[in-house]
Amino acid sequence: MIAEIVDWLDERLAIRRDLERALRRTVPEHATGAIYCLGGIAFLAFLVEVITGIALARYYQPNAALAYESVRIITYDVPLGSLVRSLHYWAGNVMIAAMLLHMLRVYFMGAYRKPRELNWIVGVALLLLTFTFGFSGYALRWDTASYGATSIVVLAPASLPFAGAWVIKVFLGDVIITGETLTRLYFLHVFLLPMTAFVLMLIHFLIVRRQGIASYGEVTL
Amino acid sequence: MREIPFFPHQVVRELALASFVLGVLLILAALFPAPLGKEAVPGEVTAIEPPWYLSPLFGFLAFWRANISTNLSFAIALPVIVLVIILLLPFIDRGKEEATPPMKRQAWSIAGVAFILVLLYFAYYAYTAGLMGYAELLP
Repeated sequence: MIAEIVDWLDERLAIRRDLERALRRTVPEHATGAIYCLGGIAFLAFLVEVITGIALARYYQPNAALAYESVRIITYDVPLGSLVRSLHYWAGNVMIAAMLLHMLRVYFMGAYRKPRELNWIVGVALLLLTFTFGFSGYALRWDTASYGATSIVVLAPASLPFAGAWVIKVFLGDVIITGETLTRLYFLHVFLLPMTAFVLMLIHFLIVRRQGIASYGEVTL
Repeated sequence: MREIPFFPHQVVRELALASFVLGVLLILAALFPAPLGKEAVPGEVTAIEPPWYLSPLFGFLAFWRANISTNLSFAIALPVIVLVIILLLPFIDRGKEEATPPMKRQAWSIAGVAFILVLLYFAYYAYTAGLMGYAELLP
């Protein structure tokens, strides 16, 4: 059955050679230990975020008057809504935690050094992106705790000289956090950040493929 | 360096790990549902709970405001400077090996542990500062 599907596709797209090469790849044994799985766990959590996020977006209303009520409906009325929302919440936290631990692993091994400078920078960018993901998602909940935290993060730049007022105007549309801010954060959370994250992750993984995984050489852990 | 086949060896191991992680996520989601407080009123800040990954930053800002200066410009610039240093690490640390055990590059390891401890201190400060520690941060 699988062979027939491959034959069918191979006849049209000539995939067999690439497929066999992909399957015959080998993995260095030193990189299969427990501390090397953290980046992969972050990616898995990201996939859970995408799936549960699409489900949540069917019910969520990015509008100051309706946002909280829609989250309440997801939590208490939609079948399995609370489970999906909680999965989204936990996978987000696990994603950030796994990324931080992954970063510590790379730092303490010094695996960011030449020739891996670029991937370190892409990784740090992904971490910042994920923080923004988490923070913008937190704001969408629109309860008192998340509203207060959002106010601090978004309004803190306002105390900067020169740029402060401009940041407020562009980002918020007002001097307090309003529905305008909510709409902007929603756009970040469900469109701009996922697209950017997808591209950066692809680059991150392709660079790992090209460079291999840093090892201690003779020394074993 | 010894190599193991990607397929099926590594694929099976990764599927096993993925199943385990998904199981843990399901258990966490089922036992500890995502919280939902009272509805926010725009313009009114009555509670401030930073997400855990931002708590060192919140703690630092509150610490600065309480102990150093009410002018936050530098307090906001400092984390940005730290971030730039982290980004440029590969150009600062010019070690030749592709990876080194932590015990063999002690200065960097000590710096890393010290940085983590500083973050934990500010996270703790954020936790104890509570609403009043932050509310003053609002313009």
